[in-house]
Amino acid sequence: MIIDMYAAGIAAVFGLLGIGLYGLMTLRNLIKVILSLQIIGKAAVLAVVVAGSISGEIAVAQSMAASVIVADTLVAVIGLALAVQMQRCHGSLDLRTLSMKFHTPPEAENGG
Amino acid sequence: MPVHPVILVILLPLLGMLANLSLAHRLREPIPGLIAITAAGSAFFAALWAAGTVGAAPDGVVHVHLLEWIAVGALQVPWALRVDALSAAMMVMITGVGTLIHLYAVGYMRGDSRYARFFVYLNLFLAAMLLLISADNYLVLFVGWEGVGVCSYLLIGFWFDKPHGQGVKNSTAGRKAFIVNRIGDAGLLIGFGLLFWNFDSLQFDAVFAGASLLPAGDPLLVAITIGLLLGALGKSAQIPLFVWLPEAMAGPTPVSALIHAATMVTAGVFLILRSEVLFTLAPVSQSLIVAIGVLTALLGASAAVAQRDIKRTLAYSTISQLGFMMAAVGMGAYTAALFHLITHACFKALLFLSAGSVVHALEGAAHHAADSPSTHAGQGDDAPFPQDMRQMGGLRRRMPLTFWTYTIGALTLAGVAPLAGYFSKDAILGWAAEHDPAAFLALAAAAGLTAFYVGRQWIAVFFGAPRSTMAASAVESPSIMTRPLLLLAGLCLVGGALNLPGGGALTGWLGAEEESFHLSVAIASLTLAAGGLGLAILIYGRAVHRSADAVWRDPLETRAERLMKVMRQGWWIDKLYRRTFIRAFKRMGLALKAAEETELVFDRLTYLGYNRLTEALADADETLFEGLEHSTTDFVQELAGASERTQTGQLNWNVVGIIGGLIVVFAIVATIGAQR
Amino acid sequence: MNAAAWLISLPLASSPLIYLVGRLPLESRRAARWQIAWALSLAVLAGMWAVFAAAARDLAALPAAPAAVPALTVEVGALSLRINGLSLFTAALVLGISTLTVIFSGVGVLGKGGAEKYFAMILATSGAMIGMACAADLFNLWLWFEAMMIASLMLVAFAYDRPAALDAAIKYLVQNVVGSLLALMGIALVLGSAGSLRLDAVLDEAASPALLAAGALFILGFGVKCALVPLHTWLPDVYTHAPIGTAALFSGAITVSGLIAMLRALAPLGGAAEVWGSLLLGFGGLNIVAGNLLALRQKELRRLLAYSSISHIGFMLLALGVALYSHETAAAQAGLFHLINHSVMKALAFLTIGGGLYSLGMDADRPMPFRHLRGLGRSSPLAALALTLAILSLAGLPPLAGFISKWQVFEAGMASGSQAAGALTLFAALNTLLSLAYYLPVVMLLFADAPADRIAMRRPLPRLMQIPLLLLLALILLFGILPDLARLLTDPASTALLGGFGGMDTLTNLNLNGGSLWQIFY
Repeated sequence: MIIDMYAAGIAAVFGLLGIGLYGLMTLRNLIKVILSLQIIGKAAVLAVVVAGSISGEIAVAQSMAASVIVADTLVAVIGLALAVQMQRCHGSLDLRTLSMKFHTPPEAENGG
Repeated sequence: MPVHPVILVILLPLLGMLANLSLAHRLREPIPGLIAITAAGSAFFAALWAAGTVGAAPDGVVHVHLLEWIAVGALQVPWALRVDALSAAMMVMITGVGTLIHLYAVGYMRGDSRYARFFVYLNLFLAAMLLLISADNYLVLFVGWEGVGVCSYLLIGFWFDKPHGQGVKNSTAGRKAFIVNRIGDAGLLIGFGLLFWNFDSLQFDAVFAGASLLPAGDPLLVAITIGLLLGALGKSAQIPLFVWLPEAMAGPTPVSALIHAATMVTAGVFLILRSEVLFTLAPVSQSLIVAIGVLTALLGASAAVAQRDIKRTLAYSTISQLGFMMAAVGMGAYTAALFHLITHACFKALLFLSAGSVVHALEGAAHHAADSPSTHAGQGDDAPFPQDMRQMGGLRRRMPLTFWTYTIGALTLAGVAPLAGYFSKDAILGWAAEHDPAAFLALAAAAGLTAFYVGRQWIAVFFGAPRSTMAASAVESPSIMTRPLLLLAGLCLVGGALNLPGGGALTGWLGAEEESFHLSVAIASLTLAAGGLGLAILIYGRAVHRSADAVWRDPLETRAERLMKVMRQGWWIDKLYRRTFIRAFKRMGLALKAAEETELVFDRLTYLGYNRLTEALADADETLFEGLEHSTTDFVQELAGASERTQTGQLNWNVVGIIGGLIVVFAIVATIGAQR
Repeated sequence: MNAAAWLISLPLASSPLIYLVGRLPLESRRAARWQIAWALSLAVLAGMWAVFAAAARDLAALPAAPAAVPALTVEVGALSLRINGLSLFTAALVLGISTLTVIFSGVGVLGKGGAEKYFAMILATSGAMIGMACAADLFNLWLWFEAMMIASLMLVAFAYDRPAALDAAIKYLVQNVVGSLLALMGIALVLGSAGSLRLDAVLDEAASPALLAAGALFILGFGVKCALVPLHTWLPDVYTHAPIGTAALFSGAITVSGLIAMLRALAPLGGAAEVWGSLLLGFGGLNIVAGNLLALRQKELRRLLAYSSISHIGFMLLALGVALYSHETAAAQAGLFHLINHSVMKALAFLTIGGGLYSLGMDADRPMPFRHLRGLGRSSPLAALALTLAILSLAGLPPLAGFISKWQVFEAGMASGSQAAGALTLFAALNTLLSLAYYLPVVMLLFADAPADRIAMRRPLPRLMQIPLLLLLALILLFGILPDLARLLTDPASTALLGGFGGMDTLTNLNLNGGSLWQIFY
């Protein structure tokens, strides 16, 4: 291959990580947040695979990648289940409005 | 190694997809369609080029190694492609029909709110399908297999936001297709696992070489082939997994034509053709396939007789025709199966696109009528449903071009000589007569039914008086839609030449020996076609002309109402599943959920005498601590307030915290690292 | 001998079983279905205690080799597990907290059905945490960590029909997944540059940029779980809105297990131990200040305790940072001792809040505003006493456990010889005074008067709830009076911890595996 696969892989890791983190910082919709998480997950999987091929431990890396994908899927499943539940009892997937509901400044609540 | 054109065949649709995907927001309406057509069309020429290289290759097989993929221990799976006679024939067919359907879709999807996205999906589908057929090992095939499944899912539910619950229905149909296919895929994966376990490879040649060392009928081969078969049954909508296909008609018509008639659903047949070596060695699976194919052919054809929806008729027809192909591969008539697969792609695409043209015209008319309330207000007692054949009729005059192309498609499906369908169906029937008389009789009956239902549909749509205001005011579709129809009709007219009896091109191309042409069978099948069509004209031709009040009356429904209802609902197989599996599954879930908590029993354990002690402590004067509450200085309070304001409780802001931490820690570590 | 395998597989295998048993239509007059699940969980925990005792005995019986951390290794298929002092320490912590939480929850403290799910998930979380402490390589460590995260998420989202709990669960999920993925990237860096993921081998080129970056990623990634300050924001929501048992489990075990995971993951990078040590010191200072400042104006007890947890984690970081920086076993011991004490105090505080909510007739996943505390001393004296002692111990008043361990942390910090660490320690000590400003008003409220009719309405605490409270109370007093008792656990743990960083030769004067003290378990 003409392109250096390692450099390309590392660049892709950084790219995916950047996209995911940017998404987490800017998006409010829970499903999109989960998508961003998945993108970061893919960056991590790619990082593992690239690392494995650099150090020649490709078999280790492949089995790690497979396990990470499983874990990642579990996370997505639970996240989406939470999304279903959120839609059900909050009526929207907007995280900002959900959090606003409960983050009342302590002064507002009359204690004692 | 020089770049082989097969790479282009897959890459071009992929590029088209990427272009549309990245530019979708910028492009005005026809441009995404044009990009997609260009991609599909150039893939067609690349496919021709790739097919040209097959002849020159040793053994007629070109292996193209792209990249290493999975290399763990014994598991060596590269991204590798294979071009041989089978995949080249499929490739040319898919890109050719695909291009025509892309052209048609430009007209059909005009004005859709997700125009560009539609073409993204279509191109992605083409790429996945082409990967499926040109794979050199089972895993790459599986990538394509799942890719087309995803596209099918996305495109069936493409109109998920239609009003009045229709959108929900559409997305449910998409999910159903996906889930039913998943059942088959489980079998497929088990088959792959067994293959790798026993032959230490997933590459076709290696697997086949390993398998041919085993004796015929080896239980291992039976297990493997049944696993693969299960996958094929799901994808090709055979009994018992056919229930998704009729509902898949919820997708836009070009999708029905391309994915659910011409290409994707034939992937199951292709899988068996590809694994021919394995199946030949497993006679048990072979006879199972024949049984399933024959039964499906009969079930599909009989269900098609009772349909009212123009597209559902064609869906059941597709199921039935796939049953023909399955039966053919089961009997070992591989060439005949591939031949029928290719001609079926042409004529079923033609029928679907013509039906789509009709639906499009009726939709346009209904839309128009809704815009101008003066015309025929309050006359129609039924809500306009443009796919319902009961609301059609008399379209022969209003849509002459569509009428003629549809007629050609219908005659091809019915199997009238010398159209393409006649030769391919005859090849299957001839082989069956020679090898399996029982299957021959059943398939012949299915062929007769085929001619009958297609005749019924033809009459119901185009003859008699218009039975709704839509039908009365429909206009012929634009030329961008009718031109592909003409091209496909031309293919149906001459397609039989691909494999004329007595040394056809396809047989030679595949290097197969199998030939079976019997004059008696040919005459019998022609008689069946003519008989079925004649019977349809006899029953329905009179019915549509007699009903002066322009209401659809099905003579069969008045005679055998109950039977027709059962057939219309696909012999209630779907209902059966709902009553058994789905209900049992739901019950299980509910049973797990329904746990009723009762009050606790652990009431009285030993009582320790600590309450007394604590009461004494409790009397400690609260004022003792009063001073401390206000002892913190204003400064600290200010600081506390300020730091509290950073705790917004917002997830986005929290992530900013993580990223901030990331940057700071890296800066520190970098500084320390630089000093060392 | 495969105690590690048992300690992990027992809870993980019985977890689905317990769930199913809780679902079976086994209604009897004497016990509800979930109570059968509860009893079964207790039985499993008892079994785990037995295995734990056996493991402790076997570890103590190992001959003390001067240049290696004593460890029991077992290979289960491709999985390699290793029990050393630190694993045993973690297992004791996890087992203790989850046993008490399970006992406490036997009263039906959850506001809704599905308690069997709860017990199943507590066991799964415990199993995964012990697995994390026994993993022999980085990737297994990560996998167990992730499993723990997923299982504990179920505990957080238990009241999934309340938006507040959902909000907490979503924040927990998103932030911790980001954290664990960052840690995974760190593992990828280690794999790429060293080709080995073993935890018991210190890598040579520890100061290479890739490994430094990996260490930074470990600190941040696992730091989300143990609430390093800019990454802590999920924690107050979880502590406030999860069921009370979950809050106890989190404050007692799950949060600090992030710290243990971080330290274990950093061990192969021991060549740059002073870098990690100084980073932990920095975070420790930050955590102490931020936690205290944020706790200052809370009007809700669970949130207040959450912020106080953040500052206490700061103390642990301080001690462990000193330990890594200057290779002081005493500092590691102090840090781990404070970790135990903090777990005991926080578990006690949260379980008592659960008791308070119960006596008010409220669901256990509700917050505890200060106004509900008023008069608790009169209606439920045991609860008031427990809460008072827990809070005073958190504040660090002698002669309670929290005082001793904080004192040891300060001592270690001052003795480290580093000026920065000394200054930081002084600063932390001043912060302890500040923390009195929010701890004491709570205590005062407990004994304030409340209308008699409101007191009369309250339910008394069932005995089953009192057992864990009494046990924890006893521990707080015991550790305060006999701090050396904790060395049973912290000695081998700190040896294993620092030994993992490759400093065995400096530790020879230490009792390597707790010696004959383990004979207690015979």
